[in-house]
Amino acid sequence: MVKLYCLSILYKGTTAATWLKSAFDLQSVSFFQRGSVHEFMQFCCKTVVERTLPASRQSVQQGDYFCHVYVRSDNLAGVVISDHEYPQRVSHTLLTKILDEFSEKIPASNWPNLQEKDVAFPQLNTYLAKYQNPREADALTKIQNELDETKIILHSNIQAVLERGEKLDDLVAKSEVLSTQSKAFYTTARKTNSCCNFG
Amino acid sequence: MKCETYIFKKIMEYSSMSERILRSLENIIKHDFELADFSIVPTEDNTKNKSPVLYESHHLGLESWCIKYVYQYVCSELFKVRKNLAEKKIGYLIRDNLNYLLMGGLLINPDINTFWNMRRELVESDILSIEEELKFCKLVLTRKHKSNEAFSYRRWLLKRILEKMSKNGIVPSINILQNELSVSELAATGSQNNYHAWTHRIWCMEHFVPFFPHILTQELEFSERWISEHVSENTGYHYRQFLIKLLKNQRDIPLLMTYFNEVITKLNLLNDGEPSQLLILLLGKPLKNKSLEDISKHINVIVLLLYELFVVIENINNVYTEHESLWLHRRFILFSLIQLANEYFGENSKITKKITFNNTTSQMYNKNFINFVVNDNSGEKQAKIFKTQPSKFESSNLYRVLSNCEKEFISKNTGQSLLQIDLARRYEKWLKLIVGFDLT
Repeated sequence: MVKLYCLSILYKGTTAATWLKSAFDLQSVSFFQRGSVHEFMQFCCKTVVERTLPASRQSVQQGDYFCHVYVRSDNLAGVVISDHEYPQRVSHTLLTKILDEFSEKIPASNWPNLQEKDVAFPQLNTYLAKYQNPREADALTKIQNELDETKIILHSNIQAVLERGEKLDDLVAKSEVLSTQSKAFYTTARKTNSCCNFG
Repeated sequence: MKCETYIFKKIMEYSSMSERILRSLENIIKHDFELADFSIVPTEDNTKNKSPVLYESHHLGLESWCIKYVYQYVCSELFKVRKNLAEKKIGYLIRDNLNYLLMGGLLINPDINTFWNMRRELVESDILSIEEELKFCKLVLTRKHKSNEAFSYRRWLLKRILEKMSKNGIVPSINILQNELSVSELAATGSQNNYHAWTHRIWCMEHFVPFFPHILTQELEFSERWISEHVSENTGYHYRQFLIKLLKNQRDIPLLMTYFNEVITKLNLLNDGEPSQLLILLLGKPLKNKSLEDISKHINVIVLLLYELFVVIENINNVYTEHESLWLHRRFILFSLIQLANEYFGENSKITKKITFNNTTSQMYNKNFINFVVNDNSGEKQAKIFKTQPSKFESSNLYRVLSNCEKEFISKNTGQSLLQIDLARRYEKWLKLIVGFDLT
């Protein structure tokens, strides 16, 4: 399915990333798991942004999901989570567009101390709905040329993004974003998916 | 001794707990007519000491910690009565009281055919109604979208309805078909490449299209929308190919005007509203022994195939690259066009002979087959590929239109990513070596 699940804007501080704005579309996820999936996507956004250098782009594939990250040189970061059919080019051009618009609306000096609830940027939800159809991206071709100059680093799973010595299991266990229910969800999913592995 | 009583007590405790859970599930399913879905919610353990049945705004859930006990209880209770039920030696008090156990068991594990068979027996003795069963079966499919057993049970129920109706001489209502189509769409959306759901849809179309021929055009629109939203799923393309073949065998379908107009514009022709002219222009005058009906049948199919080639595939390819499924679909369309042209000329052309020398036309879409032909330089098979005389098809306008269109399509796709170039090259090889197109 061609689908966008999440659009987020974060600020990459010196130690941790903070949320500026996010929009989710999780209609296709089973009702009782929406909460957990939502938390996991947040966790994933934050983790990947914190591990992306300023002025660079990364795309991470995790199963059927794709997570595209762009951190600008002024530490403003954007994340798109989509499924594997959604065109990657469109995701990255969309990131450039929303970050440009965001920085025009909200002055850079405010970014480090802003809370998500104080940010007025409702366009994000509109974009999430509008760009569910990637054909909308025709209007974005101008930015595409700029995009060609930056290289996008591709990763085949989220473990590959982590720094040396870090383990996803430990990060999940330590995380404050995730509730106990979501952690249970993670461990059961791990167990069910690991049936084919030895050891 | 003490230990034994303890275990016994524990078992009793779990049994009564399971009983309560199953009853409350049954109660909700029976009374909520708008129940949207069922799911099992993973939890670590029973920490909160409250009912594991979750029920919120028409969504039903069951916490995973209780599954083990409930399922064990269901199995032990059901296998006690299994044999008696099959031999119809069961007291009706017990018989009327099996539904809640079967419901719970099948919601947890829909792959157990024995339980579905027990339901079949209950339907046969009129304890469960077919309408209720269709609803329950749908609920099972909201969790396990790929349950073959659930789909086959559905078809069994539908067959019963159809038989009953044909016995009484009643035409089935379109609502039944609409409901089936929505169930299959739901399952296909839930899991990608869900062949079970699409097989079910195909089965339904085959059985219901004779009653409602107009549904075919609706389905064509539906599948066009579907493939442009699920570009990498072969199942969706396969269903569309089934529809095209179905259209070929349907007689009383009026001209598909929207597709016709699109094709005329793409071909840069004047629209004189005379569809048979298009056929004559592309393929020449028909043979004299062809009836008018045959010709009009050809028009719809050729219009649809050209529309697919010029519009549908083109649109998808512009936005989504690097999907092999789309290229395979294009092969099917082109092959069907050639086949149609040959049927029109009433000749069994060399092209089809070339293609079917291994007795299966399906190999035509198989990429390994191409590699096989390409790598085989030793003689025989290669020799067959060289053309001797142009066939009627090769001297027709359709051939010219197609080869230009394919040339353009390939060259458009060779300036892109490596994978896309590879796919384009493979397609080009297929055209040249298997179909025998001259692309120079």
